[in-house]
Order: sequence, then C-alpha cells, then structure tokens
Amino acid sequence: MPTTTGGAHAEGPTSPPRRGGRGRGRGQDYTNPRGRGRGNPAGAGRGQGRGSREGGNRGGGRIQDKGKAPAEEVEHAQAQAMPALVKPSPSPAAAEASTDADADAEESEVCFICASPVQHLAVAPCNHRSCHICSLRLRALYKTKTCAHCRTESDHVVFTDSPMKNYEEFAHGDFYKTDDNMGIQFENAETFDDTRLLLQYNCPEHTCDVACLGWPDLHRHVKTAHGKVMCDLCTRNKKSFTHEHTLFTFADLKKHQKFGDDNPGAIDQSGFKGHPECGFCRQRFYGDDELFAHCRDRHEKCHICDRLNAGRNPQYFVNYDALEVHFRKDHFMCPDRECLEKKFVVFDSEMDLKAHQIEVHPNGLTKDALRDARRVDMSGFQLRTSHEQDYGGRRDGRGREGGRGRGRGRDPNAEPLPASSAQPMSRAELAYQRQAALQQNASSASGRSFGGQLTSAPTPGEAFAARAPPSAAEPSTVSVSRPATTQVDNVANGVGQMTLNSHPVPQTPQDQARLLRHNAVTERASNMLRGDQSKVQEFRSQISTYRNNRVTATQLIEGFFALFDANTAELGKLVKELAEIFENQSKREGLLKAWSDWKAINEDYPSLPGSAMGQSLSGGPAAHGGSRVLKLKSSTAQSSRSAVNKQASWNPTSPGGLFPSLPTTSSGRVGAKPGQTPWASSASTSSTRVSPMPSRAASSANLNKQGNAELFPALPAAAKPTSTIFSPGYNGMGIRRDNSGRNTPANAWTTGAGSATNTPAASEEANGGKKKGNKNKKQTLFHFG
Amino acid sequence: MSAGAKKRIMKEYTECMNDPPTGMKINFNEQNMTKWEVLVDGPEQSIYAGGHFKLEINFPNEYPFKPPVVSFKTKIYHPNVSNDDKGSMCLGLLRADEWKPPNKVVAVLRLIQTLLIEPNQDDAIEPSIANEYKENRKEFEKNAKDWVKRYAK
Repeated sequence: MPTTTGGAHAEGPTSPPRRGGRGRGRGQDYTNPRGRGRGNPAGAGRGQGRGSREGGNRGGGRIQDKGKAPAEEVEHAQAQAMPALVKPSPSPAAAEASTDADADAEESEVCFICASPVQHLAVAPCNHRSCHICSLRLRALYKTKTCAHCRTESDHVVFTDSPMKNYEEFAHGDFYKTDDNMGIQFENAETFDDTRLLLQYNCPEHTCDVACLGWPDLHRHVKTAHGKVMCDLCTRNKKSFTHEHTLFTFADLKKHQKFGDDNPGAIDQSGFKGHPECGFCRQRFYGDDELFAHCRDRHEKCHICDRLNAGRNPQYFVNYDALEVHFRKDHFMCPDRECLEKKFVVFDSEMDLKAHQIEVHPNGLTKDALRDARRVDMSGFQLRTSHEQDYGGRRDGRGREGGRGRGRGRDPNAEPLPASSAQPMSRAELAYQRQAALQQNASSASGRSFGGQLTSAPTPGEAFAARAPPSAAEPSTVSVSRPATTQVDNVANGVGQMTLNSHPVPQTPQDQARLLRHNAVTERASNMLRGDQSKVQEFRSQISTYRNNRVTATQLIEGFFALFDANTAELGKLVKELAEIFENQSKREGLLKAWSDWKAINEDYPSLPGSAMGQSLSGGPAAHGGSRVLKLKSSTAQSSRSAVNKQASWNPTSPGGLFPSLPTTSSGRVGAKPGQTPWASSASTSSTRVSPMPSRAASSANLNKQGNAELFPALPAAAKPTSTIFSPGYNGMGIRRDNSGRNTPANAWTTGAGSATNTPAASEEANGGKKKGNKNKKQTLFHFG
Repeated sequence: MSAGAKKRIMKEYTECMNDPPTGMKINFNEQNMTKWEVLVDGPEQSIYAGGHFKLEINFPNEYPFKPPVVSFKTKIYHPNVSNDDKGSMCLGLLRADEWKPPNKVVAVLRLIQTLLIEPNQDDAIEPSIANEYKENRKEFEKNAKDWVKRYAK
C-alpha cells in the first residue's frame, strides 16, 4: 500500500465502517434529503482512495477537464478526509436502529458490487441486497432479473431505505409506486425520484442538468449546447446510464474509436483500446464480440482451415466468392457444377475429394477416369497443399464436368437452383436450401440422403461424416429436387393467407425463400395474437395500409403496440421479419428505422411509468431536480472529481434552499464553460447573456418544472407509446428544448413565470411540430451564429 | 471504464493487500489498474510445485458485471489452460453466464490454485491434455513437470 496523503486507506482493513465515518463527515446536514446523495461521497472517496496513490495524476480528469488545478482537488480530498477520521465510526450494530436512523445506516454501508456508499437499498425476494444503482443497472441496462448474489430470478425487487427489512415484510400497500416493466417496487417517493433521475437522458456534461427526450435529442443537445459528440457505438452498446457516457470533440471521437482513450497512469485510465473495425466493411463495432458476430453473419470462414488450426486465428473471407478462390487455391474443391452451386463442397485432401467424386458423381466419370479416381497418388500424399495435386484435381474434374451433367438425366423443371453461378444466392436463400434439404431428409423414407447432407451441412463435422455411407450416391438428385415441390405447396398456402402478398406461385428459390419469410411473419403474428383471427386480420390490414402509404412507419409501429399484447423483444422480432419482406427498399428501411427509434426512446432506456406524476405531485423534490441530477451524475460518473460537487455540498444553503448547486459552483470552478456560468446567484436575468431572448429563461423554467410531465413523454412511458404527442415532440421540440435547456440555472426561482409561458408553449405545440421545427432552427442559427 | 468499476478494483486490491492470499504475489500497476499481474506459486501438493506462474488478469470495462479475463503468461501443461501464446482459460465462474458481480478476484485466484492441484477434466480447453490426464496420468505428470522445469522456474 503506498503511503502519503490519503491516510484513510492505511487503517482501512481494521475499521470497516470507516466509510461511514467519512460519509457522514461530509454529509453534514442530515435533514437535507439531498445531502444523502452519493455525489459527495463518491468525490471524497476518490480523494482518499486514489489521491493516496495518484495524487500527482489527478489533473488528467475528463478530457475537457484537463489541466484543472489538481492540487486544489487533492486539498479538498484531504480536507474532507480529515473530519472523517476524527468522527467516531458508528458501530455496525447502529445499522439495526430503527428506520429513523436510515440515513446513518445507509451511508455506513458500501455496496459490495460497485464499492460505493449505498444510497438506497434494493432487496430481492431472496433477501440479498445491493445498492439501488447496481440493481437498476442490472435490471434496466443488462436486462437481467437475476439476483447478483444467487442468480435467483425475481420479477420484482424492492427499492427501499430500510436496511434490515426483509422482502417478505413489505406489504403491497407499502409501496409508493411499482414499475412492472423493470420489476421494481419503490418504497417511497424519494427512491422513486432518484431512480427516475438515473434513467433520464441526462446530458453527460457534468455541469449540465438537461435531460433530453431520447438519444437523438441528446445527441443534438450535446452538439448544439456543448459542441461535443458522443460515441455512437458506446451509446448503443455500453451498459451505462446516459450521464456516464463520455463527450468527445470530433477529433477525440476519432481517436476514441480508432485507438481507444486509455490514458495509462491517469485517473481516467480506461484500458479501452478502441472499437475494432471490420477490415472488409470498414465498419467499426463496439467490441470483439460484436465484430465476431458481424463476421460470422456477413463474411465467410473456411471450415477446413478452422478445423486444422482448432479454431484459433480465424481467417475470414469477404464473401463466398473469395472463399471459393481460397478453396480452389488451398483445398480440394469438387469442381462439379452442382457441387459448386451447393457451395462448401470442398475437402482437405485429394483422397477425400476423390472419394466424394466416386460416391456422388460416378455417372459423370468415364471408366478410365473412374479408375484413375480410385487410384491414390501416394507420391504427393503428404504434401497437402502442393500445387500439383491442386491442379490435378481440378483438371480431373473439368474433364468430367460436361459429361456428368448429361449423364444424370435430371428433369430440368425440377432444377431447384438458377443455373447461372454468376448470381450467387443470398444467405437467406442458401439457408432455405439447406433447410429444404434437411426437411427432406427428415421425412424421406430413404433415410438420410447423401447429397442433401452435403448441401445442408456447412460444418466440417457433418460434411465429412456424410462422406461415410458409400451407397448413398443416388438419392442426391432426388433430395434436392423433391423438397422444391413440397415446399412450394406449403409456402403457397401461406401466400394465400397473406394480404401482403400478391405474387404468383413461385418459381425461383428467391421466391420460395420470400414466401417462407411471409409464412414466418404470419405465423409469428398469429402466435403472438394467440390465434385471434380478427386480430390477425387487423394486423394484415395495418400492414396493407402501411404498404399503400396511408400510414407512416411510426404509426404502424404504434398500431402494433395497440394490437399486440406482447413484450418488445417479441414484437421486435416480428417487425424485423416483417421489414425483411418488404421489397420496397424505402418501406423496409422506414419500418426498421421507426422501430429502432421507438426502441431507442422507450426500450433501450426503460422509462418509469408515472414518473411525470411523481415530478408534479411531489413539488419539493421536483424543484431540486437540477442539482440532484448533477449529484447523481457525480455519484456514478467520472465527473465526480470535479470541484463542482464538493462546492455544492459545502454550501449550507443548497440543502434546503431553492438554489440548485449550479450558481454556487460557478465561482469555485476554474475552467467553467462560458455559456454555462451564471455569474450572480440571484440573477436569473444573467442568463440573458447566454440567451438573447429573455422569454427563454422563463420557458426553460417551465420546462424544467413541468417539462417532465408534459414535454418529455418518453420518460413517463405512459404504458404504451401510442400517444401521438410523442412524435412532434420528438421531431420539433427537441431543438427548442436544447436551447432552453442550457439556461437551466435559472430554473428554480421562476415559479410564476412557468405558468405564464405555459400558454405560448402549448399553443406552439398545437401548431404542429413541423413548422415549429423550422422556426426553432432559425432560432438556433441566430443564437449561435 | 466507469468510476464504479475502478472503485471496485481498488477496493479489491486493497483487500488483497490487507489479506494477501497465500502462494501468490500481486503486482499492481497504478499506470494500468485494469491489468493485474499475479505471480502464482505451484501449490506444494501439486505436480506444479516449484514452478512460478505469471498470470495476467484483465478487467473488462464493464467489470464487475462482466468477468475478468485470466490468462497464463507462463506456459503450463494443464487441461484448462490453452496451449498457445495466449494461455487463456475459460472455466467455471469466469464464464460470462456464470459470473456473478459479487465474485471477487481473490476467489478467482483461489480457484486457479485449486485447479493447479486438481484440473477440471470436464471443462478442458485442451482436449488432448485432458485426455492424457484421464487416461495416462503418468505421462501427463511427466509432461507437466517437464514444462515446469522448462518454462516456470
């Protein structure tokens, strides 16, 4: 353990409750509900913990914080650590005191997962506890409902302040609110509010308390208000709350994606080495797992090489054509036309190839060639990849190719594949072929047919196992042609049912594949509707209206939500399958886009039902929203080491008063952003400096107080997103809110003004989103230009 | 890496320092706290006795919600450690679907020690070595000791 400043660490092991002591020393005012916020503990914790080791590096905070007087911060840390050491540590038994002592008990506890002081507790039915933030992270972001300790799945957990109360002791009436989507029961308004704040689309800038409507809105906000961007891959994949994301300048974003933003030795070291890129597509992916999935789905891998080097160092090929080149060059590919069309008919030795040829294409061989084929060329036996063998094999095959085709005498009508190899099948078609062959195999009385197996089995294991039965040569042609007809029948039935579908009886595999997809969609839909015919009919007609441009994709999605009582995952599958079958590119993309938009707003970031109510009903906490958000940010985000939070907690007025922490911080901050600084704490007019229109300040107050109720429909989640208020807000209001949001320091003291501006805002809203959007754009230009 | 993750790693390191697990030494680099280097002694009762194995523990960004990644930097003849330059191991509580956030690195290190004493045949990453361990224990022990001599002294 390195020595120096921190002190607290040295005695850490022997006095477990030390954190409690520290926490209290800093919390100062127990009557202040916000004093319990984790923001300050987090800040101080850092001061103690890391300061001891890395005091010299403290300056390297977030990018925008660089060079901010590190010494000052260390001093803060010490200053706060001191009282902690003097204060008597509460004995663990103190935690048993009644619920009145909640504040104490909580602060003396440290979450075993995130090692931060516990703010509220989450109690699962198994009575395991964690802090509410970790529990929320697991439930809302990782989407797992299992207990972190014992993996017991539980529909609901209780977010509470009582440290000892067991899950079963909570009666149903005890709860202030219940959120069934995430499965959280809130014991009181405060836990609910704190949770809701976490789930808002909070701006990651740690001095900004703006909460946006959704991802698009947030992206716009950080761009206009802070001139920064967020990493798209991170926001989509990283399991963190919005305010925990990082803001980048454009240059930094490039660096972040390409090389990562690790900063070894600094306080903000991340170990992150950048988002990997697919060398073929030049597209970046969040992590190796995502890249792997992409390569698996979009590119080809040589199963033979894979087998030879036991799955290590996988090498990918951009598509099957490239893979085929590799097959020809490095392995032994059956040159037979049918096998070429089947794809993946390739062997790792000449012997295997010959065996295949004798078994599968005996008719195409002349007697001599057949005899040749049976002969094993011992001379080249060991040299697997020698060119002689390679060419030998190919020459051999080419000679046979023409003859074979004639010899088979197959019914040309039964030919399931388009003859031209210039038009390679898509993956879906390929999959269909395999599936067809498999089904045939399963049902056919003649047992597993050889040719079918080969086609359907791209994996080495199966392919090579299939080589074994020597007598199975004949059925291969049958197996391929027969499913074509039976499948067509099945599929054609499906066609009849789909209103969507107006195609004639399919001829090509493409058609068949499409029909299969149609079938899948209808089937999924009717399953989800539990076979309710009238609803299925409704589903079809909704799709038709969308197809005929009578409704937008967004409306269609909303219609689905009204129609289906299913969860979003199910619906997502349906929408994706549905989108697949639209041949019209714009329709397909429109639908997918509408879906992902909906998801981005409602699902990726689950919302709390009734949060709006909580906001407007419990007037007190609502007014403090701003500072609470900031505190909350600091509790989980890196920004906690900023001087802002410490300053805020020192300010004795901040607990009870109406002032959010922002006004006080401005004086303490060294490098405050100019646009953010309200110079005088009393001056709501000071914000005119930033916003040319005084009315703006007022409207921002309005937005902050009531906005969550009326203008942020994404958060209230209102059970179903069918409400149309959501769309205009999403399109137009976002920009407006962005601008006003920057003025939020002024929010707390304009109670009256809020209602005054209410009317114009409402009427504006009534004018429709589009016009307003334009108008706002102009304002934006004016504002920043 | 989020603040929570770092805090948690720091806490675990402090715990390791206060109560150092026997038979191992943790090199903590403050320049990069997401990568720990651990020197594990081959347990006395195992065939790896006398060897010193360098391990690397990498903490993912999402730690502790995702498991740490453990790899042997010293070559070791063991069914559960991949026999390549990565020396990766993937077993039991290190698997993504079995990892629990409350699990600690110390537990992982202890698990590795028990694995050195008793390899887990069912979870083998090197099937050939596992096979040898199962069918020809003598040969396995000979090879393992040989490797200890060659690589782990």
